[in-house]
Amino acid sequence: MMFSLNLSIATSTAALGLLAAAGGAQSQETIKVGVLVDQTGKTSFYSQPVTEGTLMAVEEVNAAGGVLGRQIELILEDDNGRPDLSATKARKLVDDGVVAIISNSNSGATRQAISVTAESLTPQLASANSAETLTTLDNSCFFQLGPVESLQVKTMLAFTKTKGYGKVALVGDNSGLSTAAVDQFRMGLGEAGVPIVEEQLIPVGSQTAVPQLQKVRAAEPNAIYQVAQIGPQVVQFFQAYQQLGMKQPILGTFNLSSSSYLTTAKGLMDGTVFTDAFDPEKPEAIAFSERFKAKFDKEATSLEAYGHDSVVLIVDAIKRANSTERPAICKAIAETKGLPRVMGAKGTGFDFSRGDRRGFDPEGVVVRAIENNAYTGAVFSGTKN
Amino acid sequence: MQDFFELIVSGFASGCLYSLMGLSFLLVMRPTGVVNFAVGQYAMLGGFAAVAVMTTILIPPIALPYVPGLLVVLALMALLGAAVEWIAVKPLVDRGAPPVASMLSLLGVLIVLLEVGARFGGTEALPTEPPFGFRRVEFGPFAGTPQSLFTIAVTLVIFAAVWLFFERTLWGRAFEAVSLDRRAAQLMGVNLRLVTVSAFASSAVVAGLVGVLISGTTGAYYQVGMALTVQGFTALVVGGVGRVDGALLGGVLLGLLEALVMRYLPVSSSMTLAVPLVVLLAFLVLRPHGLLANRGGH
Repeated sequence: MMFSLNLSIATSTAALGLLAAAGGAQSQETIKVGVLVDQTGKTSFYSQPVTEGTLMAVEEVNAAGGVLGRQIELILEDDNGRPDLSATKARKLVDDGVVAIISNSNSGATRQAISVTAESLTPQLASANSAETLTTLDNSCFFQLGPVESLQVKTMLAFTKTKGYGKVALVGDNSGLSTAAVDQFRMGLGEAGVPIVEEQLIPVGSQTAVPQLQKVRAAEPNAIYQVAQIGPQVVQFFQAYQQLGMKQPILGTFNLSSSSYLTTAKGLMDGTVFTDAFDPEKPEAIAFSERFKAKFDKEATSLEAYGHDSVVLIVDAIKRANSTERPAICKAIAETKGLPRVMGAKGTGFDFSRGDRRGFDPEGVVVRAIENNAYTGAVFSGTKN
Repeated sequence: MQDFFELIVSGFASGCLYSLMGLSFLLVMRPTGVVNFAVGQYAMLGGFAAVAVMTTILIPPIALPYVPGLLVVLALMALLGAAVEWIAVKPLVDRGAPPVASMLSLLGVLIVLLEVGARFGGTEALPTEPPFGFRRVEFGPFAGTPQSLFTIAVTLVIFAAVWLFFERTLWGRAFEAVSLDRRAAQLMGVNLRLVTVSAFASSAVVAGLVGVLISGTTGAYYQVGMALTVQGFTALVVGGVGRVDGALLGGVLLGLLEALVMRYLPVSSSMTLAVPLVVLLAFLVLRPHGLLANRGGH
C-alpha cells in the first residue's frame, strides 16, 4: 500500500510538473505552492493520504484553467515527520518562491515550520493537525484547517449526554498521541460531571489487552471511551472486548475513521460510534468522494478531504486578493467567511472572520457509527444537544 | 475466578509468542555463541511478508491461501537468515573475530531491517486474514479465542519438532556437538559452515512465524520487533539459556506473569512491558542460568 501511495504521489507530482511547464510555456509563470509532507516517517500513514487530496485538488484547479490565469505548481518537501527537519524544509520552500505552504505533516513538524513562515510572512495552512496550541504561536499568517482535539471531546460529550451514560471507562494506549487524547477526555468528562470509574492504558508493543479490559469490565461502566491511537493496540482493544463478551457501548475518536481498521479489526467494531470531521452525506463530500473514486478507484476518507480543502482555501484567497503576494493572500485567508468545504458537518464551511485562526466550524464535528463493518453517515453533529 | 481462567488462556497465548522468540535466539546462540538481537526485526519482516504474499495490500496480484502463503514466507525468511549470516557474520568469523564482533554487526543489521520494513510495509498496521476468528470460545472454566488456541497449538508443534530434531536426529546431534566444542566438532567432521548457516536460517524462520501469527491478530507493524526482542530474550533467560524446553517454559511463564500482574497487582497498566525487564534483571542477578540447568556449551 505504501508503495502504491508513494507511486501515486510521485506520478501525480510528475504530471503536475509537466502540466505546469506546458501552461508556463503558453502563458505566464506558475504560482508555486509548497507542501510539507511526511513521506517516510512515522506519521506518513496519514500525511500521504492528506497529500493525495492536495494533489488531486491542484490537478482539478489547473484543469479548470488555474487561478488568475496561471497554473499552480506544487513543490513537495519530505520532512520525515521530524520537527528538526521541517524548519529547514520550510526555509527551502520559501527560498524557492512559494506563495504559501501547506503543512500536511504532523503537529510537531508543523510547529517548527511556523517560525520560518512567521519570519517570511508566508501563509501556512495546517491541513489536518489537531494540536490545541498551534495557533497560540505568534504568526498571523498561520491557519489551522482541521478541528482541534478539544472539539471532538466536546462533540462526543454532547452525544454522550443524549445517551445518559452515568459512569464511563477510558481506555487509551501509552503513545504521546493517545495520552494527549486521554488527558483531553478526562478533563472534558470531569467538567461535564461524568465519573470515570476505570482508566486503562494498553502499552505499545503488548500482545493482549485482556487484563486491561477485565479491569474495565469489573468496574461496570455504562460506556467505554476508546481513545487508543496506535493500530495494533486499537485492534487488541476490540479483540479483548469480543473475547470477554462485553456489551458496553464504545465511543471512539477521529482515529477510527481510518478505513484500515475495517480490515485489521474486521467485524469487531460493529456498534461503535466515533467522532469524525467528515460527513459523507454533505453535498460537497458526496461530490468529492465521486471525483476521488473516479480518479483513484478507491473510497475517499477524511484524510484526502483535509488535503483537498487546503487548496480550496488558497485558491479562493488568491482570487479574492487578486494577487500572489504573500501578505495579500494572508489577509484574504484571514477574512474568509462561509467558504464551502468538503470537511465538516452539513452546512458548515471555512470561517476565519471570528478572529480565530482555527477555521474549522465549532459545530462541524460529527458522530458516526460502524455497522456491518462499514461506516454510516452522521448520527449526531455539533456540540449542542 | 472467571477472570483468572480467561487470563490463563490469554497469557499462555502471549507467552507462546515469547517462547518462539526465545527459540529464535536459541537456535543461533547455541551453536555459535552469538546473541542476535535482530530477531525481533525478523518477526516484523515476517509479518510484512505475510501481508505481501497472502493479501493484495502490498503486492496486488498476489494473494495466496494461508498454508501455501505461510510456506512461501518461511522460505523467504530462511533465505533472509542465511543472507544475514553471509553478509554480517561470516566475514568476521573468517577473520577470527570473537562472537561479540558478530553481535555488534547484527545490531547494525537490526537498524537496517527496521528501515527496510518501514519503507516496504509503511508505518500503518497491516493485517492478514486470521485462519480463525476472535469469537469467545469456552471450554470448562477456560475461555479464549480460536486464534489464541491456534497460536498455542502451532507453538507446541514447533517446539516438539525442534526438540525431536535436537534429540533424535544426527543433524541435531551435530548442532549439539558444535555447541559443546566447535573445534572438536569440526575435527569430528561436522561442517561448521553448514551448521552456522542453518542456525541463522532456522532462527529467521521461527521469528518470521511469530510475525505471521501476529499479522493475523493485531496486524504486521514496523515497531513490533523491539518489544518481541526483549520478551524473547527474557523468556530464554528465565527458562534456561541453551535449552529448547527452557525457552518454552520461560516464555509461557513470562506471558502468564505479565497477564496476572496487570490484572491483580496495583501497578499502572502502561507498565506491562516493564514486567519482562524486571524479571530479566531479577534472573540475571539471582539465577543467571535460568530455571532449567544448561547441559553445557556456550
